[in-house]
Order: sequence, then structure tokens, then C-alpha cells
Amino acid sequence: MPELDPFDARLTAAVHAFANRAETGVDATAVAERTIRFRPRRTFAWLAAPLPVPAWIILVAGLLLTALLGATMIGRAWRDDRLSIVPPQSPSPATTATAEIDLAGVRAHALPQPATCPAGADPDVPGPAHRLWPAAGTTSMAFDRQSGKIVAVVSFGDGSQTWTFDVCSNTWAQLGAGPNAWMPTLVYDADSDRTVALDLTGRPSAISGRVAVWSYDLEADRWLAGTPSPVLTRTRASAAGPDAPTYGFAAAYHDPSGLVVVYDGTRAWAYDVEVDAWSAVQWEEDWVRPSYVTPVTLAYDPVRDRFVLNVKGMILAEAYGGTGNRTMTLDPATGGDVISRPGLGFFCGWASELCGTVFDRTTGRTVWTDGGTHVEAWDPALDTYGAWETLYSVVGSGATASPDWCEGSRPAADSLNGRIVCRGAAGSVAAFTPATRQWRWLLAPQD
Amino acid sequence: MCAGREGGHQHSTAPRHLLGMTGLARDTAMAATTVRLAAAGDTVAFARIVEAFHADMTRVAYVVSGGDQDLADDAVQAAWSVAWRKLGSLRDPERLKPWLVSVAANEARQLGRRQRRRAIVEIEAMTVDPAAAEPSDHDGALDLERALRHLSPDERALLALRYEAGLDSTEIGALAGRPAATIRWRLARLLTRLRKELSDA
Repeated sequence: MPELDPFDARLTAAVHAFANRAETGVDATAVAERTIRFRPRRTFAWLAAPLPVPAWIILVAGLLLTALLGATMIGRAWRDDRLSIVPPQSPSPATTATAEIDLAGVRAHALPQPATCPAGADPDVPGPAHRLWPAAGTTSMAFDRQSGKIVAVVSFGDGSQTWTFDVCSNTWAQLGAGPNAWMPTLVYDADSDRTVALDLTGRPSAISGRVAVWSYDLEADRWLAGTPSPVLTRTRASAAGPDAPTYGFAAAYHDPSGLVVVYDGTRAWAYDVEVDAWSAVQWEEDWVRPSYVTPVTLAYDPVRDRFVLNVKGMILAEAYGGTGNRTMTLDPATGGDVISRPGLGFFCGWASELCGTVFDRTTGRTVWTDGGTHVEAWDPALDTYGAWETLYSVVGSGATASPDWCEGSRPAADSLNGRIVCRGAAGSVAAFTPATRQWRWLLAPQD
Repeated sequence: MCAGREGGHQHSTAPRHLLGMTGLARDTAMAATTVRLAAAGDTVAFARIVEAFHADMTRVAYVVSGGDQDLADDAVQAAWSVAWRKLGSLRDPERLKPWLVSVAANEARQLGRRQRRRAIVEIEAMTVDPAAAEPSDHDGALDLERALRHLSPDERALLALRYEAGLDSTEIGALAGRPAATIRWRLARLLTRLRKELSDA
């Protein structure tokens, strides 16, 4: 808008003030559903066909007469057929305990522009061979959108290393020592620009039920140990007792609140990296969630504002149908709106170290991979989060002929190039593009 | 996460729809994906769009209607119906907001014109809560209301798109299918009238 003269400025202020009196609250979901159900009345296409003038006169007169009679008989019935604005629901009750948090009531910082590849860089060209690459080890990765690099923690059982993979030049770079974790889950906290590593304390020798946490500042190449979580327990009746510690969790970054959310099988917890504090997520108790399950993967779908959760193990609630793997969607605000479907039956390792779920912003789908042999997309368009769709499978193409795209690494979503990246054997890095359903080497296996 | 809070977290007083709007508006790639999914029939993606832009559309429709909340609500509902059907024709998802507010303005304009033709609706003077505004704002608001009552729905639509939605003549012209010069001329004529109405000439 060009610079306003005094009258323009005054008029703008007056119009804004006037417009702000409008009542704008709405239940968006209800409006959307009503809009979609609404069908405009059909028009009579044949009216547009050329007719002789006398026929038009008779036709128009007939229509007018019909309209007059119709209006008299039906009256104002049409008004009931309109869509109606649905008033907003009552606000959630305020948080009463300091240890609880309402995810819908917390807002993330505005995000800076994500990184872009420098001019001349071609992310599709494989990186140079025979460069330094990480030794074999369990690799967890997360994409740092502000640097345009994947942060990787390579664990060896008695220590770990920090590496970055530049998705524009497709090269590895080694940084300092990694966190003292056995097999961490990595989550990039976008509004704090920190990569967060989470792992159960005491693994693998003991199960404590606490989640240890570290945050990584890439610019300073420094991991900072945070406060471990409260004891996460399988609170509902489980074979191991009512308060047995959990031995699994899944974590994801919740974009709107800017918090890292951890699901322990029964409840959700939020970690705020900036103040190093844990809170229990305030979810409604009315929703029956399955218990005695081990979360395998968790992703947040920002398009539909839902968590997509994969669990394995026994599920006690009858509503969820006995045992087996399940995929569920959870409303971050209430923990409800659970849609449960049979989950993926592929082997993910006993500590779920082989599988990962990420949200692909290009296709708007949550993508799951078990290390490269299968890639599945959770399709929300089918029956409102209805099914997994296979994007890639070695079955049918011959497993022996299939390259080992990933070697026990959890994937990262490279939102810069719209692909899922994982680490393969011998220093290699592979990328899967959900839009084209194809794998490619970003860095071919080294000799 | 958020800075400057007590006890760990800042509980925003902003309604939830504003939280959603922030996310959709700040990430153009996300907006494009959401529009594409909604155009393909994804109900949830469409709800996210409703959540993000309903307030903007209602405010514009409210100005076009001259302060008639019912008419504004009806217009926005009709606009969502149009948007749902025609979302696939939106070529540039980054122009989603201007497109939606112009659809809302157009629906409000048409509803307003129908009301004028039927002459069954009186545009009543708004009662302003004196506690809701400063005295100077109060006077200005009343002046604008009086001026709005003397404008046609077409003129109010132009005013709303320019001063509430912040679109320039070229954008309004593109959305209305008219040359930018025509829009500029109409705006200039409208402003001359308003200067007179608001005693600011």
C-alpha cells in the first residue's frame, strides 16, 4: 500500500475500528462440515437453450406464477436451509495446576525464514565420494530448518558423535561429542532453533521411566543436558502393575505451541526447551485412550492439527479391539478425537530404533518408514484418516535386489527439498521423495 | 518456546483460531499444501482454512453490509460455499486471503443489493457502547456509520477491500475483473464523497 495521506490514514483507522465490531468467533470444523454437506440448488440448464420468444414469455410467466405460489406456500422455509454460523465452543477451562499445560493455549514464537540452498547448489547431485562419514552406529536424525542441515547423533553404545549432513551439497561434517544417550530420539524445536535429544535414562540396563533430555545449539556445537522428565508410568492397568515405569515413548514437535510433546503410552508430556521445564499435557479424561501400549512413533500433522501415533502391544480398551499394532490420531487440544486403525506390522526393532515417522510438508502426509524396505503414508483423505497407503515396498520387486537405503536409522524430513532422508550403510545417505515415490542416493555407499 | 512467561508457559489469551492463523499464514509452503488438499476434497484441510481466514472475511463483509451482523454472517457462509467449489481454480495459493475476502465482499455486496431492492431491511443506526471506545473514536465511528449508510453496497465493498483488507487498486481490479484504472477512478470518486460526508474536505 502506498503511503497514506492524513485523510486516508483516518479513514483506514475508522474502517478498522468499525470492522472490529463484527462478531468473528466460529467453530471452524462445524462450518467446514456444513459447507461441504451443503449443495447449491440445481439450476435448469435448459433454460439457456434458445427458445422462440412466445415460448420464453409463457415460460417466464409460468415461472413467476410458480414462484409466487411457492413463496406463499413455503414462506420463509428457505431460511432454515441455509448454512448457519456455529458459535465457538466454550473455552477450555484454565489451567489450574502449574504442572499441567493446555497445548491449545500456548503459542510458539514467529519462525524466521527457513534456510535455502545457495545459488548454484543442486541438491539432486550426489555428494563427493571418499569424504569423511560416520562410522556404523545407530543414527537418529532431525532436520534443522534454519541451517538447512540434518543434525545426526550416531550412537555406539559407549558414546555418541554429532554430525551434520548438508542437504544442499550432500556432504557429512563431523562436530563434537554427542549426548550421553544410548539411542536417542531427535526432534528439532523450530521456534527455539534447538535440536532436542530424548532417551530413557538408564537404558539399556535399567528401566527408570524417566526421559533424559539434551538440547543442541548447532552454532555453538554444544549439547546441554536438561532436567529429566517426571517418571512416566503405564498408569492404567497393566500386566506389570498400575505404576510400572514405561519402557517406550515417542516424541514430536508441536508447531503451534512450540513445545516438544512426548507420549508415554497413556499420557502426553510437554517439554519447553527454553526454560527446561516439563508439564503434563492437560487432556480431557473423558476420552478413552488405549493403555499398556508402547508408543513407537509420533508425528504432528500441522495441516490437520492432529498427532499421528503408532503403538504396539496389548490394548486393553475394548473400543480398540484387543491386541496388535494401532495407528491413532489425537487432537492436541483434548487428547480426543481418536481415530484408531490397524497399524503397520513391520518389525521396528525391540526399541523401535528401526522405524520413524515424519510429516512431509510437500504432500501434506505423515510418512512412515521401517528403514527403507517399506514406506507408507497415512492418508487423511480416506475416511478422515483412514488408512496407510504403500508408497514403496521391496515386496514384489525382490528384496535381494533392493539397495539397503537405510541402515537402522530414524529418518528426518528435509522440508527444504521435500524428501525423507535416512542414513544407509557405509556412510551413504538416501532420500525418498513422497511426491514421486522414489529413492535416490544423496551419497552413494563408499568402498 | 515462548519467552517472558511465568511458571514456565505463557497462556495466550488469543482465541484458538488466531493460533491456527499464525501457523498457516507464516508458512507459505504449508498454505499451498493445505489449499491443494482442500481443493482435492480434504475436509480437515478446508477446516484449517476456515479457521485461519473466517475472521478476516467476516470483518470485510461486516463493512460491506454497513454493520449488519446477520447479513455479514450469511455472506461469509455463502462465500465459504463458493470457496469450497472453486478452490481448485485458485492458481496462486499465496493469494488465498485476498481471494477469500473478495469473495466474501462480493457475497455481502450481492446480499446488500437484494435487500435494497426488496426494501424490507432498514439499515438502523448502530448503538455504540460508550465504554467500548474513546470519545474521539466514538465520534469518528458514528461519522463513518452515517457515511456508510449513504453508500451503495458496491461502494462499501470497494471501501472494505481497500481499507479493511488493504488491497490496492491493481489487486482489487484483478479480483473484480476490471481494469485497475477503473478501480482507481471509483476510489477517487468515493473518497471525494466521503471527505464531504465526514466534513474533512
